[in-house]
Amino acid sequence: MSESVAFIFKTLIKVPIIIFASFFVMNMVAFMFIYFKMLGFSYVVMQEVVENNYIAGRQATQMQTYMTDLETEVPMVQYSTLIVGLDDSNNPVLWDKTNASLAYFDGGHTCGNKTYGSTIKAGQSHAGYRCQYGATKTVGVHCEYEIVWPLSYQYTNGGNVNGYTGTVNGYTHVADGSAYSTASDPYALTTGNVGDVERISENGGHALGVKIPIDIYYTVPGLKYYADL
Amino acid sequence: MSLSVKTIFKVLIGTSVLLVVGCLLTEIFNLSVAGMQLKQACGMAANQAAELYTQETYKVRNDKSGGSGLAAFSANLNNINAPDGTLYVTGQFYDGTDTASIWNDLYSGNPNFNSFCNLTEGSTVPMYSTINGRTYATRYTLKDTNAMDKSISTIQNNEFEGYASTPLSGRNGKAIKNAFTQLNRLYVGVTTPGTLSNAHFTDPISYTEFSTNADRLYAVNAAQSALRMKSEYYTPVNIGIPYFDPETINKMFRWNATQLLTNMMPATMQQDESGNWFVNYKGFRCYVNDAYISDLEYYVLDTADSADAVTLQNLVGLTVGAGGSSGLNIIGTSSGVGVDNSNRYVTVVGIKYVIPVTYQGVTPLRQIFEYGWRSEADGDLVAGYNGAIGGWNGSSVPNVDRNVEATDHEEYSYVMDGLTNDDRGSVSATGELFYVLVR
Repeated sequence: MSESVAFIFKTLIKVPIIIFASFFVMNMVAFMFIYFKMLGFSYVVMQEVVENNYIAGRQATQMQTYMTDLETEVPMVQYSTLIVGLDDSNNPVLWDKTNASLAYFDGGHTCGNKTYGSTIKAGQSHAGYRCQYGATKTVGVHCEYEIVWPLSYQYTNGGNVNGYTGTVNGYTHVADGSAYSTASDPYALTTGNVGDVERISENGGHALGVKIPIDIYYTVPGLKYYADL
Repeated sequence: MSLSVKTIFKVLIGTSVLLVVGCLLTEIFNLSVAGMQLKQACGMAANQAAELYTQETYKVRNDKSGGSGLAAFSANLNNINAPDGTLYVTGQFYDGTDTASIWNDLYSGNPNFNSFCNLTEGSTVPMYSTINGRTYATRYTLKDTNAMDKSISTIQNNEFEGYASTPLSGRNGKAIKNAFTQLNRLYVGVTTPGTLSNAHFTDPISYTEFSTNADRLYAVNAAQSALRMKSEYYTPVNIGIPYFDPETINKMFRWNATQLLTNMMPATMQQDESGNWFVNYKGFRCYVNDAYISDLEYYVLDTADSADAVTLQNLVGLTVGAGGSSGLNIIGTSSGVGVDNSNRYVTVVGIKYVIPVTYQGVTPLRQIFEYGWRSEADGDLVAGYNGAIGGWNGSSVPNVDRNVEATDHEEYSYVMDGLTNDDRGSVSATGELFYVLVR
């Protein structure tokens, strides 16, 4: 009898361990897949800049479409964009891909503890700027891989959660335990939308929703001569 | 719970094996990924060097036709220096100070250009370039194609005939200049311009000659064309033939490769045990200052010939024929001295490059192997010692007190083991790409 009880408990413990181990392996495989995909894509971007000194408008549009599709189709990819230069501190500067032009940057973007640049360093230009043979350009890709764990969060269609009609009362701030209802609280929920509830896990400090930034970039010379420059 | 001696040794050995195997796997992975990236980077460097050469950046914009008269973009770039300030790769691609002097250096009086024009089908001619005191051989080959086979029977270079018993430019078998009338004129204008001032080429055409379509009509026209080409600095590139001067293309290739492989940071270059500077590219030691173009293989292809069209498609992916533009629709020049079909020809050049590399790795695996294979003095006296190290053997013989130096120990190296003939222990990595100019 005691053996069967022991067996039951052992099985009960084994199951979640196996589940977590499976998720761990799945995350590793997915991360490697996405990393190599980004590596290949970064090489295409780099080659484009080496051969033409910049990324032309049409090419940027194609890349924008590709990365948007990547975010849509792959659940682990939360945010992907191009790296269009480095700032004075050699932090990558990200392209704000809601704009078609590469001259718009997603300045101040953060991922975990990393903060990305807002302006291109002196002496260089962004990846969309056409320049002469031998000019220095830094280009690459940025992608945020979000680790998927069981019970991380539930996706809904953004409708109201039953029982909430507006401000979410009773929720406490993740970091310091203060009440949510203050309007000036940066983490305040102004609607009862489940989508907002879901984002609690993304606002730093919480164990779930950890993002791993994947930054692959190259500093290369532009190797095309333009007679009109 | 105490560990037994056996377990301790098992753990130690297991850890060592794990470390070595881990390093090995990392190196294998790095070799395959970085090796491919290195090859791609070198291919890009060579391709862009060819592109830059054909753009002829040393030529001043022509202001005779109402142009702005702007001076050419600086034909040369900045030198790349090693961290100690010595010249690593030059950015002075051209020898000369203006368009005329650079063009003269490349074509007029340059034996390489003469050799190229007289390159015959199936032959290989080495052309030499000296950079930073070292000489490199670039082999020029004209491949066997149907276009070249036809050119011997429809020679275009006989338009200069009639001046002497021997045709001015010579037949030279299936030489490349036989396939291109314009190249032949350029060759004559560059090599024998003085002869074109002969009365045969300068006397006015008589009515009789004009009405009878005499050969001298074509000779006069050809002579004027040749002289104009010389005065206006025409080059084979302007005719659609991607001829590269070996020294210039080597310099461009090295500059591009150095900038690409160092991520525009030449200060990160390192020095090997022999004092040679190299670029460390993901574990590869790349001696870019010795990289060069080893072969230029020219394919003259007739777009109206089915076999040549297939070759063109295989080499560079250009398709001619049904559904696309057909060379058959390009009409050649029919004249009394021969048919000129060069408008239908496309010239493809296969560029092979060489870059000396050796692999030093990204993990300490190399040091592990070197440590394992390092042998101390094998019975011979170690330099500086008289056979006994002070204080060790208790001998009363006076010992030489001397600091142990690295040279006293026999160290393993690829060179000493005779793996390579290069004093850097490097091997030549090669690659190839195909370049085409389409007029």
